[in-house]
Amino acid sequence: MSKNTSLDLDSIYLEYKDYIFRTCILYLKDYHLAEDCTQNVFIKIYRKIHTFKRKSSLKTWITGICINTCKDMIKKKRHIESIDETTPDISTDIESQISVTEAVMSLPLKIREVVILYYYREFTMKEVAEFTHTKISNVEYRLRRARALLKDMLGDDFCE
Amino acid sequence: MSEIREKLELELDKYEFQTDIENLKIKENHRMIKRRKTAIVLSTIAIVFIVALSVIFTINSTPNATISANTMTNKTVGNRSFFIVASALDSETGEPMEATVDDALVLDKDMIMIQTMLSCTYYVSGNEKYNGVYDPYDERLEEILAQEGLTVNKCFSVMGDESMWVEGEDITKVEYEVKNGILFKWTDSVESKRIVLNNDEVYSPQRVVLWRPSEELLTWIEDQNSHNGPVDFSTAPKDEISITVTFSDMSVATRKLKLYYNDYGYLVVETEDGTKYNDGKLDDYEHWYKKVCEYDENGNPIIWDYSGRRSE
Repeated sequence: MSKNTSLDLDSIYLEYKDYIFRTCILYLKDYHLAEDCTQNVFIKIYRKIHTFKRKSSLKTWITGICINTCKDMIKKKRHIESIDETTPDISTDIESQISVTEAVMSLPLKIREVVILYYYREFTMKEVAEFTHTKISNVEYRLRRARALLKDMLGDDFCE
Repeated sequence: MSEIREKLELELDKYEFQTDIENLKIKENHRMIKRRKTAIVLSTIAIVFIVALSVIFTINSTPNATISANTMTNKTVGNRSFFIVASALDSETGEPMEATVDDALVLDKDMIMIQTMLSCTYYVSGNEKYNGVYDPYDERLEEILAQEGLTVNKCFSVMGDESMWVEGEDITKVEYEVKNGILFKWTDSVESKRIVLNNDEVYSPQRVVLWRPSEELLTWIEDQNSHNGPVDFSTAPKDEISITVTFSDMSVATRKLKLYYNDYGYLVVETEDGTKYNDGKLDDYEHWYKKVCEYDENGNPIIWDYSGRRSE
């Protein structure tokens, strides 16, 4: 979306609905929770759109809302079950071996988070550090761990 | 494009989100209209109250009373006053948390609330019968913490919104003085006022500052993790905060607050006359919270940034 485009919800919805939904799926590991979460994200975007001052890109702003909403949902569900320990409720077409999606979902949340932001959403290390409120060095560490864990799960043929 | 991204794109491509966006907008519009109406009514009543108070003070004050110019003294000068409203919004509805917004309080006195609770989650291991994660209000905790041979790690989380802002006409500057800085993560949604913390300007338009927890609070948290007993909030650090507001006509008003944790981890705000706010019971609030610090289930600290303030 160009800088000069007016910030209307319809345009944002069309452009980002699947972006947000798929990010939520990876965070929450559950299709139905991701649906609820995506709905909540759009509610927040609608409420807060007037506060967006273009200090960052719209994508960055929306991703921030998405991440925080996912985390809120994870914490809310903690009392009922450990959402991080549940088996991902997502089916994939690949039957013979674990899919990349399943592998990413099986990562601990903090490591999964940096994979989602750095590899999947292609933010820079600095941006990932800001999203996760931590230092760049920690992000680097988590990415190294992610690569090692993914290689264990996906085999030697896997490369980033 | 990395291989990970490529494969995730391919595997997740079939998932598409559908919702009735028009219906969502209609619902939100209704909600906003309702909030605006409430805000207008409250503002009108508040303005009438302030005007009436000013009239009473004028009648009772000495004939030669003057408003002094921009002073740092800890007293209210002139006939101004101010509300302080702490943000405590329900993350689901965006509305102020029901139990904490009392219209009568807004009308009768300056309302000062900082809706923060330091909640502790207990991670227990070492005995299959007791292994698990327990919330602070779990009835089994007393029995569990009395057992020997267990490893108990306490993870503290912040519930509620740590933000505090000032509502009032013509306020140009807000100065806070704190002794221990136990209020953590200072942000401010006010965009047109200067915010000064301990003589250091921490906020002005275009600049947002996040304040980190004090060393005293972190030390206390670590100490609570050094034993298996229940958390003892009576030993948590306390603080006093002085808030001085400067108005556009250079008059100032000051409020002093005491801050301390009650037995359940609520950060109690006590005003000059002894009135307490946020003196909640254990499970009053079940909404979202943010982590102050994180320990994994082995008691090892996870990523925690002690770097202090950062500004954008």
